[in-house]
Order: sequence, then C-alpha cells, then structure tokens
Amino acid sequence: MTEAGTAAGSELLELTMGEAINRALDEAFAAGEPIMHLGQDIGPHGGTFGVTRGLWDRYGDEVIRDGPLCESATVGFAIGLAISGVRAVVEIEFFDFVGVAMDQIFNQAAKLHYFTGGKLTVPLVIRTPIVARMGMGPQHSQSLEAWFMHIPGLKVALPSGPADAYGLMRSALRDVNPILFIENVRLYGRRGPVEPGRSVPFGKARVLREGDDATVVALSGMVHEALAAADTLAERGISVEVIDPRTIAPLDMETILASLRKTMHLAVAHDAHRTGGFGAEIAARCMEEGFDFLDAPVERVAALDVPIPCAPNAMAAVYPDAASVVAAVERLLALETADR
Amino acid sequence: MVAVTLPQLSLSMEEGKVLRWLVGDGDRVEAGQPIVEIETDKATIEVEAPEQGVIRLVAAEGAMLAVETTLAEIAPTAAGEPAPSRAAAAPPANANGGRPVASPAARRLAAERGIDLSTIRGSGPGGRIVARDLERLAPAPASSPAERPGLREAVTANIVASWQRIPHIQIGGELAAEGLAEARRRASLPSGEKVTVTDLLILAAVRALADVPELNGAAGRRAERVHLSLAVATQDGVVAPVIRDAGELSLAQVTRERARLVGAAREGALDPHDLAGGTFTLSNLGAYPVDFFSPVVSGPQVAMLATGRLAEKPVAIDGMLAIRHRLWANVAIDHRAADGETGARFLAALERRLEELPNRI
Repeated sequence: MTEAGTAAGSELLELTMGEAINRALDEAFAAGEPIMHLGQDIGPHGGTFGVTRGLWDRYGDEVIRDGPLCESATVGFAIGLAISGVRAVVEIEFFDFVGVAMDQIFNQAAKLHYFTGGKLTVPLVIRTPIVARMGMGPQHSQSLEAWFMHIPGLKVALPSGPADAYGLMRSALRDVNPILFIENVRLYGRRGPVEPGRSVPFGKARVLREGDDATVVALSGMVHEALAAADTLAERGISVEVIDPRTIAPLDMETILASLRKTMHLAVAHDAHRTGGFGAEIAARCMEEGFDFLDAPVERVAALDVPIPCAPNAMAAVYPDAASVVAAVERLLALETADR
Repeated sequence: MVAVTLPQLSLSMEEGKVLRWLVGDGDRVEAGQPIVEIETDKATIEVEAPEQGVIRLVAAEGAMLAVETTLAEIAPTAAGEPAPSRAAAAPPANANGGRPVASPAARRLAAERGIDLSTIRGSGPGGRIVARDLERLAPAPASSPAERPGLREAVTANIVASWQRIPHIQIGGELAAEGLAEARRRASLPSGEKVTVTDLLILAAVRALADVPELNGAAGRRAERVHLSLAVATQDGVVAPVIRDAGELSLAQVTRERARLVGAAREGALDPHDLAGGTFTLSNLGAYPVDFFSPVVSGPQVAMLATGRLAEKPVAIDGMLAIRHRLWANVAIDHRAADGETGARFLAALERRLEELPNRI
C-alpha cells in the first residue's frame, strides 16, 4: 500500500519513471481534494503504457475512469471539471493525438483565466507520452512540445527521469494553470532514486553535468543522449555541460545563459523536428540575450524535417542521437571529426 | 541629449567613484575629450565625451555609482540638430569589405583586451576568429587574485581608447649620450642599490620637462608637477606605475621608488594609487636591441618618451670619426595638445639634460 503524502526527507525510493508518476498521482488522489483523472484505457487496464496501473483498483471510477475515444470531448469535459472546482488530469494516449483536442487546449484551457478577467482558473494537467524511436510510424512518434510553448497561458513540462517526473507532477498537481505534462515512453522504465514529498518547481533547469568547453541543452530523451555524448567527448579532453530545462514554459533562461557565458558554445538537442522547434527558440534567445558570448552559431540537434519513418534503419537516420550531439559539439568547437 | 554613463571597465566592476570632473558644468566639450576621472577598485580611468556639445554635469564628485548610471548629459552643439549617435557615426560593418570575420565572443574579448582583430589569424570554420585565438594570443590572467584581470582590462581599455582617439605625432632622434654613460659609470649609492640607466633617464626627462612644460600634463591641462609613469613589462602585460613628484626627488630616491614600483608591478601587488595621476610616461626598452619605437600616448597624458639602447657608435666630430655613446629617443605626442616643434624642443632639452648628468647627480 502506498503511503501517500509522505513528508520530504523520507528515505529514497528506487522507482522507474512510470512508477514515480504513478506515485505522485496516487498521493494526490489520496489527499482527498476533489480530483479526477480521465483517459483512454487508464482505468482497469492501467493505461496503454501501464502508468496508472493499480490506481483504479484503489480509487475507482469516482477518481479515475476511462474516457471515450475522443480527445476533444475528454479534454473539454476536464476543463469543465477544472473550472467548477475539481482538479482534472487527462491522459492523451499518444502525443500525436493531441491534435484532436487542440481547440480545447489552446483556445479554451489556455484562455479562460485571461478571458474571464481572472475569475476562472483551469487546474488541468494533460499527461501525454512521446513515443519516439519505437517504430510506431509517422502518426505515433512525434514530439510536439514547441506547439504548446508558443501559446501563452500554458505550462509545459518534459521530465527526463524518475525524480523530476515525480517532483514536477507534484508541482503540476498543485498548479492552477493548464499544463502539458509530456512523458517519454522510452524513459518510463528508467530507474532512479526518488525522495517522497520532494517537489520540483517549474521554471528551474537542472545542470546534470558541469563542463567548460560547450553547453548542450537537452530535452526529455535527448538528455541521456547528451550525457552519453559528454562521456565520449570527455575521453577526448572536451568538457561538456549538460542542462535539462525540465520545463520549457516557463523556461529557465538564466541557467542556460550563465552556462553560455562560461562555455561560449551551445547546442540544443531534442527529438522534435528541427524547424520551429524548441531549439530555434533557444537559439534566438541566446542571440538576443547572449550575443557577445557566442563563439559559434548555436547548433540544433533535432529530428530531420520529414515524417518519422517506421522502418528502423530509416527511423535511425531521422532521429538525432549521442553521435549527433558529438558531431554538433565538434562543429561548435571546430574540432577534427573523430574516426568512427 | 546624449547621456554619458559610467562604463563597465571590467567584468567584475559594479560601481565606480566619481573622483574629479575635468570639465565644468556648461562647458563645451569635444568628442573624445576626457571629462571625468572615475576610480574603480582596480584603477583610475577617465571617461571621454562621446559627442561634442555643451555638457551638463549630473553626478557629484565623490559619488559612488552603479555602472550605467548617467554621469552627465551632452547637448549637441548645433541646436535643433540631433547629434549623430555613435552607432550612426561608426562605419557600416562591411564598408570596406575587409572587416575581419570573428565570432561575437571573440569581438568582445578583443575589445576587452585591446587587441586588433585584423592582426589575428582565425582558427574557426572558414578562418573565423574565435575566442580561443585570443586566449592563445593573450591568455586571461587567471593565475592570481581576482584583482589582476580588472587591472589589465582597465589598462588595455585605456590603450584602445588612446589609440583610437588621440591623433599621434612621433618625433625622434639619436641623441648624444656620453653624459648618460659617464653618469652610469660613476653613479653608486652608499646603500649599494643599483642605479640603472632608467633611473638616470627619469632624472633627465623630468628636468627636460621643466624646460618644455607643454608636454607635462593631462586632459588638456598643463601639470605643475611631474608625476612620471614608468612603463613596466609584467607577465600580464604592460603597466605604468607612477613616480610621484619626480621633479623633487634625488637620484637615490628615484632609484628606490623605481625599484619598489617595478617590484610591485611584477608581483601584481600595485596599489590602484600607484597607477593613478601620471602626467608623462617613460618607456625604456634599452635593455633590448631596440633603438627606435613609436609608443601609444597613454591618454589623457600628452606625451610619452620612448628610449632605446645606450650604445657606442661611430660619429663624426669636427670632421673626424670618433666613438661616442648615443641613444635614440622618440617622443609620441597628442597632436591636439602640442605640435612637432614642441617635441623637437623637448628632445633638445633632453639631450642637454643627459649630457649634464655627471655634474648633477
């Protein structure tokens, strides 16, 4: 039985990222405040990727229930719950399906607080998995986070590990604003220490590795590719700083600029397509706010601007990986390309 | 109105003290004219007028202000006609097509260290000058206390400003230096301290300035006393500590003060006070096989004397060849404050003062 609402400072737990999210939801459900989680197959089935496993058994349909095969209806219903005092959580089965609910998200959820002069708040968390690199094809593999950082009124989180997923979900479930909570399926099984009761604030980046020669700002799954690239480059005497923004709205530009001022070389890495992606925004901000510290153009490490293929070999060519990060740092520092 | 703000002279600088106004409220100032002395924790520098016009002083002497605080406002001279902004006055980036290709970071470092990018070969893609090219050229002095980078940056900032703003003239000649050689042979101090050629040059230069006071001064004002800045090479670059009231000192006192300042400069232990207030600079490279060089006047001073090696040379005297000690001396002058003839008179005075040294030490 989960001990919900445990105070900070408790012993560390070893959890997978999926279990960490489950635990944060569990604690919120157990707290007794009005809350409801809706989504396809998240009830008795425990979710397509198993994140809500066991929660329906404990809390039942009153708290967690299957939604229809219609994201617009589910999100619309959840917004109704949220503005009437019930904290709402929605799971959209694949990030790619968010389009069906788009008007509800960007025109309704994001605008109601503003539109009503602050009379309404929309405490809504939309959980949705990125299913990148799993051979699921062009309609089930996309990373669409940049769409949402573009919309004022939305917050966007992309945890890269169990502790951040748990801590950010705790913060999300206390927030009064609509939040996109983007989970990476390939990271669900990643295990790590989680401190019960410890929240992670939105808008605070994490420096995962310190370095002096170049900075890599990486999102979600690319955080781990960037860390692997940093290991590779360290063997060649190149020291790379790796930063995970954790939330892209709000965005902790301070930490990124402080790193740029130190290393003067910066790359951004994400699974999303290159054009109009998160990396474009970071590049623009670095130019605007850190121009005098740029020793080379900001590098974008991103998926090619083509639909994501199903075929594994073609898919591998489209997605960036640790080698792409290494190559970007080589370009930043004008290094000789290492033999591979 | 053009605002003159307190510049950030080093990365660590957050505030500065308004030491002294060099112009009065309502004065007409020229672009590039030093208008105020600012003291930072590292050094004392002068801020120059960015535009010509009539100045209104905003900050009070003695005030400690944050960087970017407005110090004064300058109303452009031609009433109703907006003064050209600095950006507008600057030539377009690629006006001559010869602008070096450099990263923004490299440009910032070059500006901070007073390095001319056109002298550097870039190692980046397509020959772009990148930060590491500047690091190779002039490594940031990171070895010692936080103090050093600030000092060095202040010094280089002054070199850059001087080079860019002061119209230089250079007047030089080979001087008779038998007296200097003789004085060096004879000079010995009871304490056993070593008298150097530099000490004797200081003595002679200070006396020559008494003869030609036009070259002793700062900020367009002739100074009554000679505070002699002595260029000293250190591992972090050149600094110029000041021998105060050099005209009042005996050879022994000059020797002692010179030894103290050179020692402190090389140890990076100079007090900001040691660097402030010079009215004339001597740069002596006579320890090297150097005869002639043309220095950059250290603004707001008016002139700098550059001396080469003291050497025996064949000279014609009354139709006969003889071997005599000679010394090249070159004086760089801010042409706005003095002209070539003044420099020539100074060299003549210096030669005379060198020759009489044996009788006056």
